Amino acid sequence: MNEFIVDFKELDEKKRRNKIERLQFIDWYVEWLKKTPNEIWSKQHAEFINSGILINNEWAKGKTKKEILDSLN
Amino acid sequence: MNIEYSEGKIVLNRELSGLDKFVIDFVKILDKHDIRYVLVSGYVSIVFGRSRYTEDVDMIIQKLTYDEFEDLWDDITKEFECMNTDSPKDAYNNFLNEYAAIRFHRSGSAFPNMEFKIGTVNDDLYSLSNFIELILSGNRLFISQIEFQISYKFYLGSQKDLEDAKFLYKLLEKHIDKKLLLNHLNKLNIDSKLIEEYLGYL
Repeated sequence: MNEFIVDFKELDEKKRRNKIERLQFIDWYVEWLKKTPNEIWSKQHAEFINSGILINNEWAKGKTKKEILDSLN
Repeated sequence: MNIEYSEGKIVLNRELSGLDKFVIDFVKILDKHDIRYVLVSGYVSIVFGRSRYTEDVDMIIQKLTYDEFEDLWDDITKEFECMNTDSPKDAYNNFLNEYAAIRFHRSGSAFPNMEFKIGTVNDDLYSLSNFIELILSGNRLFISQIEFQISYKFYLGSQKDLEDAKFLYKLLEKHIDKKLLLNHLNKLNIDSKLIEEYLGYL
């Protein structure tokens, strides 16, 4: 298909399903957190957060403070 | 998750991320100057394990005179840089006094950064006087009251905010004062259908 055909019914349904799946994931994740020892979940969580910091700082290399601020505001 | 929750205090011992260490190092400077602050918004969910990243940590501080701010600035800028300006006068007069935030980051790393503002409006002042003392692996942090945080996230209303609210509620459900939560939600005119969709029947 070379042309993007907009079908709002289809898109709305996709959006609705995505929202449900995200909320179901939170339910699942909270239950997992509750039953998982702190040293296990927090190790994985710290790795996840630290990778975000690394990616952001790689992106910021060579950028001015104004460019970074503009991206945040 | 092993968490100790008592009136106004939570103890959580866990591995610290770079984001936690950034926050801990920053608030140590505020503690040294005996400045009242409260951490609000995304970090309050992330500190309890929410699986999302944030570029910034939102902090509300008490009102300061220029001299108090300059003393604080001198200490903060030994470890951190201000992204908006190099001048404490500019930061105070043209940002903080104009109800705008300034951002601090560690020298050499733009992220994460601390979005730092003086509390002036009613919701900021409520957060500053209704906080929780969180002892995070031996480090004391003051975070927003959970019931208020959940309600405010509903008010903000983006998908991310609503998911933060759901996460906090589901995780800390047995410790949450539901009457207080409902009171906040009602004051903020949050639609009952939206509350039920995200939190279930309260």
